[in-house]
Amino acid sequence: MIMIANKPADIAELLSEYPGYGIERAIINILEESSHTYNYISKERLQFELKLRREIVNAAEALFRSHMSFMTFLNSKCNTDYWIRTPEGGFALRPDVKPSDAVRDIFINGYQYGTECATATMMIYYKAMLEVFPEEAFNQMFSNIYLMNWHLIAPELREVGLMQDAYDHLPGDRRYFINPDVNPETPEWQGENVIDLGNGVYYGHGIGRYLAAAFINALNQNRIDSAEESAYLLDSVGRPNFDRLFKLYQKVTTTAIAVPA
Amino acid sequence: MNVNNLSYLDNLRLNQGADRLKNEFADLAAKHRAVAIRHINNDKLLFPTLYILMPVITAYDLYDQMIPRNNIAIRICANKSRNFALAFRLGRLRPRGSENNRAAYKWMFDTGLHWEGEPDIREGFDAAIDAASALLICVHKDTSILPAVCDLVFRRYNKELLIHDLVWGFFQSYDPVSLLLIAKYLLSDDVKDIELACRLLHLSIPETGVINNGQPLYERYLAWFNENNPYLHFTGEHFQQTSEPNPLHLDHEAKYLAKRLAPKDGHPLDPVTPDETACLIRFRKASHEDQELLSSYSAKLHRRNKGLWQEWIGGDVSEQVETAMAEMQVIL
Repeated sequence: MIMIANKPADIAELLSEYPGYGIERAIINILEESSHTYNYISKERLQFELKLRREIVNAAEALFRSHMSFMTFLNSKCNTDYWIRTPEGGFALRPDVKPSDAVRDIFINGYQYGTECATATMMIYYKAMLEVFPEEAFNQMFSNIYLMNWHLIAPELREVGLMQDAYDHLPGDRRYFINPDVNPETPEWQGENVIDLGNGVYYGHGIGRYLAAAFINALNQNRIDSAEESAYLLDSVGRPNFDRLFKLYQKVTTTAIAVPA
Repeated sequence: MNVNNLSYLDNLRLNQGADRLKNEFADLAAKHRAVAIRHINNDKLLFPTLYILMPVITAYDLYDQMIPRNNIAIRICANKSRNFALAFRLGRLRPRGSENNRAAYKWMFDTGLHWEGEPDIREGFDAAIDAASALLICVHKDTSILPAVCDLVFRRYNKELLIHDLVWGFFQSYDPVSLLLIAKYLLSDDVKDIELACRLLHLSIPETGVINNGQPLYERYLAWFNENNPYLHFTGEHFQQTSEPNPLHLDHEAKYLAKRLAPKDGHPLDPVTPDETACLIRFRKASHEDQELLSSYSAKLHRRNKGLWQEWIGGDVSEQVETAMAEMQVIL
């Protein structure tokens, strides 16, 4: 169930703010029907999480449509107007460009980019943050982006690189399909990072936008000859630290309002 | 390296460089195809030389006359560089039989391990070495290469090159010895080595100052490992999955029962008896702190005096906690 400031939330009122069939409604319903009690310090805190989760899902859908190709680190590629490809195959932000422009470019000129699923998931998080935070604040927070799986993540997003147990699975969560018997010649198939899009659908770069069975099937086709174990979806999730990001959000939006026009 | 022991093509590469090697081999392939094939199939040839010559081999289409070792190695390289058509063709040429494969992977690894080519070809070559080592470890269960793979991981990290696939393959050995190989780097004089050893062993990175001396860290890790080794199993976590993979899980229930586990999947090596199941049911009712105390005391007592341990493990959990709290310091 959902509590706001230690009191049961008015679910009807909350839902009324999200008409239609949006993922915010789906999230509210999962939280409310859960046997776990989710206690938010304020309604604004809950709304912030709903907004960020919505933007994570939107960014995942946008990356799916971006025509970015799947490449291992060996063959990774990027638009060098915005990014520098490092010897290990990651992309470092060019010092002479705005982080917001560089992140947007991935989604505009996706065909110029190629990487694997973990790095693609980080791209999704940065895009979502860009949609939620004022651009100036985004550029200050992420002045030094390095895109390479879960390596050197900006401190503000550190937690998305970690997997944790969760009471419920929510749209906007990062999940992981693991492939224990992967063919060692193609370790890029050792698993697939995905974003939960809701309704049982996931997006994972390189495989696409499908139900869980399709991911399992794709991974199973890349196993060792003597494979005994099927790929499967782990229960754990990767989530940003919504509490800390909300505080940051409050700080930057309050400051922005206080600045004289 | 004993120059007299080198093949003609390796000598050419080492003494006159990669460009001269390619030019001479191309000339040979054009004018004396059989001689070119004899040289490329030489027993003593080193993998870096074959790797550099791949474009020439393709240009003169020498694949059908090459020995399995070369075709297997080039097939792996072709897969890594996404030349799937060539990989498919070479896959069809590849003779059946795992010994040919094993020998080719071993040759790639042993003769390519220390080569550091030019940056433009280095990445592809490293990826082929990663694949060869992973195939040796996972498919052929060759753990003899673990020390060399461990050293390569640290060398690459120092040069800020990709280590993720190499580390993944290394841990696929599910051999606890692999952890001790990494732990030795805690004793390194190089801060970067200590930093990476901490990351790979999932230890907290020490504060500045302490990191210059990894000796205490090493001793603590070794003590922890020796105490818990029979009850550890590999988690399979890796860098594609999480930013802080933890390679090992300590099973407190197994430690409490002094029951050895298979390092790969964490299953008990001997079946759990009804008496042990009853013990576990009681153990699970204890608080998390008490469970840690009980498992730690149990393992120590089991090692010291099996008779006393048998008596203790059959008792009530609250009595066990009392004894453990009273005697934990004494039994250390």
